[in-house]
Amino acid sequence: MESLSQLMQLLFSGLTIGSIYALIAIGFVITYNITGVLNFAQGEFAMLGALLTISMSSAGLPLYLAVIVAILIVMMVGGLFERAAIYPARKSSVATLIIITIGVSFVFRGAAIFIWGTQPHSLTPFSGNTPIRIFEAVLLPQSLWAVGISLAALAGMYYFFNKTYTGKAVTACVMNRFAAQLMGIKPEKMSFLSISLSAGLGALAGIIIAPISGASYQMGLMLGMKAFIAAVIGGLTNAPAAVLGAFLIGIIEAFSEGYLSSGYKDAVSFAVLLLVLFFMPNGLFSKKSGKRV
Amino acid sequence: MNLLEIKNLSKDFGGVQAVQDVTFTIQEGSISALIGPNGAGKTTVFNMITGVFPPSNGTIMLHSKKISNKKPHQIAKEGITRTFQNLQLFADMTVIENIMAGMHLLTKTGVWNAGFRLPSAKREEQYIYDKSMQWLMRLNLDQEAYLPAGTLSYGKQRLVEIARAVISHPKLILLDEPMAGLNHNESEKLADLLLEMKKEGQTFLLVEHDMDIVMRVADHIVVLDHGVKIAEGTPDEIQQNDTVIAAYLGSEVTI
Amino acid sequence: MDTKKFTRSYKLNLYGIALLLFAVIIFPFLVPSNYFISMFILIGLYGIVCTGLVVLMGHTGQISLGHAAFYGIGAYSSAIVSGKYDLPPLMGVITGILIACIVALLIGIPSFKLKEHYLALATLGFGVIVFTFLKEWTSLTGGLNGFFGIPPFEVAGFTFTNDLSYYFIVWAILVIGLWFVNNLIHSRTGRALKSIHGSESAAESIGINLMTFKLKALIISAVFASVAGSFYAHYISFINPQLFEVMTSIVFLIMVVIGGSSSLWGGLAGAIIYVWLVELLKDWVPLLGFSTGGEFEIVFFGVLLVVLLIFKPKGLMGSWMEKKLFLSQKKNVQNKKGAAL
Repeated sequence: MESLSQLMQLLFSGLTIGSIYALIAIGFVITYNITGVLNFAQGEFAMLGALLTISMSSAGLPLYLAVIVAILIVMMVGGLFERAAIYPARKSSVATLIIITIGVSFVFRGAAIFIWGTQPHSLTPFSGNTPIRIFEAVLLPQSLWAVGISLAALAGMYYFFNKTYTGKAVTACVMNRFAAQLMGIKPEKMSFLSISLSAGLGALAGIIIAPISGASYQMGLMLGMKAFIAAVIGGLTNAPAAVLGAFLIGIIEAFSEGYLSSGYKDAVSFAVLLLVLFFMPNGLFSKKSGKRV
Repeated sequence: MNLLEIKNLSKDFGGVQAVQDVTFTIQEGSISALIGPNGAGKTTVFNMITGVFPPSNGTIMLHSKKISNKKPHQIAKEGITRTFQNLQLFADMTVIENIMAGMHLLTKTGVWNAGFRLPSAKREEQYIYDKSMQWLMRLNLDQEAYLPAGTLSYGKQRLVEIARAVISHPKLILLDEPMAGLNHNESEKLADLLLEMKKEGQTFLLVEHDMDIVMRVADHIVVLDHGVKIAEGTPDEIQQNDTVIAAYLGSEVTI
Repeated sequence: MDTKKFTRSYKLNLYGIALLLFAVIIFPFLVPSNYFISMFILIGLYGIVCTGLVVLMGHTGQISLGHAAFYGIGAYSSAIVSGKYDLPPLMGVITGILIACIVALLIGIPSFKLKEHYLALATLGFGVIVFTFLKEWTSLTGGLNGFFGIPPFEVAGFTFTNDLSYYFIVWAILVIGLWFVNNLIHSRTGRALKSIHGSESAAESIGINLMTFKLKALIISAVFASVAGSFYAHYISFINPQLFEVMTSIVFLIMVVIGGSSSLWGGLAGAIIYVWLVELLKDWVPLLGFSTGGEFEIVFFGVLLVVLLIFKPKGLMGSWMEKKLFLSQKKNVQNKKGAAL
């Protein structure tokens, strides 16, 4: 029974962390497809969201309000980032744009140290800490929150992209930039919109994870990179595949932590990244693979 | 003598038949032209000859040697170079460096010899330089030799691109709309240059929309429409061909 | 035929290298300070890594986010070969070079088959994996506690014991490296690399095999990084995995961007400016009322990176050289044209 409960435990924690990666990974996919930018600062939005929420809720704001305000602020930061750093360099090479986003991630991280210091902060769980027992495994309520909110956000995204006018305009821009332009959709506006939307999703991810693993200025780097791996596993162009990739990475990590050693956790994820890049460059879930793009 | 033989060449892009069963040959020392309305499949044929993508069907033979399914750099090694519809110069390199780069296939200095500047590397560098300078002088570009290629006028950039393609003594040069963006005067001069190089034995295949120029320089014309070859022959024959006239009437270009 | 003008930039660089050599030799006599000597050893080591990166990034246009791993491969190869197995230090350096080459091939071949940004991803992943192994393979590397007691470098009976000897050998290697790269970029191979940066389809059309030449650039830059790593290990005599983390790769990137990846001197200039700025910030930041936890440094370099890439994408050396070389040539052309009329 011991091994089954451990298995369940690892599966739960894998799904929890996977749902966080999923939110950030979707941001990656949206940004990449609309602006062509691989945004290495994506994970920093999660960090900003988490720390802002912690500050505001400790200042006395009700949690739900703190969450909403934090997400809005991060969305504005994202939009500002697009205008200040991506838009002026939109004609630069892919390499230059990548380095610019790395520079921006530095700025965010440094700013966070100024404001919040280097000590980790914690956020009280959304609904208590009493563990729930399922199949001998212990499940924290926050994990349910994480998976639930992620799924709700994903459903919201689906609705936005397929049912609303603005969402459809973004989708059109992804499918055919030129045709979308002919129809009066401005790619510049879409670029702004997509990055601030991705920032909001990232912030949400950071807020959900904060009660589980704490929040600090350096949490963004690894979160961002893992989400990145998830997006690449999903083929970088396909949001649902990126979500699957995110859960896969979450579970792989949880299991390599449980059965191997926590030290190897990161290396295992990146080894998966390399294997996917080298053998299935269009992503795990792509029908045609190995084709040169 | 047949230089390039194209047999039953077809390309389909996920069900869309871009080129269908096209067959033609190119004579050594001639200028051939591939014409047709927009979307006729000319560029697709070019891309198959230069190895950008493989044909779905059919063969391409150079001097009776099969070259289809080779990669672009291997095609260049076989002796086919090209220019591009939207200029592809190395904009940050100087004019002379662009042309020197064109000598890649004629030379062989590797990292080791070059890095330690062994005598062989020095000799080769001098040889590359001399030959490139000769071409620049011939094209009247020697004054601009040390400017970044991207700063030249459009017409001159074209010339640089052609010089880069011709300097390695290729068997065949593919010119993708060489007259695009040039004014009348520049086009005429380029046409003269092509005819002059033909006299020296150089073979060309060009895709071009400027019919006056095509009729003037081409020895042999192949007409494509909707991916199918609808006619081929000398300029005179093509001008009187009813199918060709009908095909062109349906589009914006007139002969 | 007159090749004077063509060899101008090559010759200018040669004079620069000669001048540098002279400066390197007299510097310790002018400034006999241990502080500066050790600072310049570090600059020299960074300069070697970044000069290699210039070939990869500036000339070939490929971006690596994992060069700290190649630096680490050199350092640990030397540490293990000479410290653990007591073999001659030179063998450690060579082992590092060989491993770096093999790894560069393993990473490069699959990545170069894909779109350009995939090399960035693959090298990033490779950096994390190398870091993990350095950290976890404790029996070989000492793990997070680090590797102690790396013997001094030694060649042909001469042992490098003091800072001054390391200063000379590191800068000698850098000077040779600059000379090598200058020769390379003014050759068929260098032009092939620059062609790839300019236009991949045009490069292919003149017969350049993209895969082999990108691999050559990656291998050259990996070897430079590995050699620098080896000498770092011998000089410091103690290394730990954190020195070769992803952050270090990004620091190398920052240096190259600051200096300008399109110029031969960009790597060295970037290394000098970076180290100097770090020292400057250490002195000034406390005066501004901030603590020196490095946060100011992070923001500062982040902003610098973004601003440079938007406004001066060729870096400081790149912009300066361009002005120097091209403006004077434009003037020449105009003068001649004027004379002809």
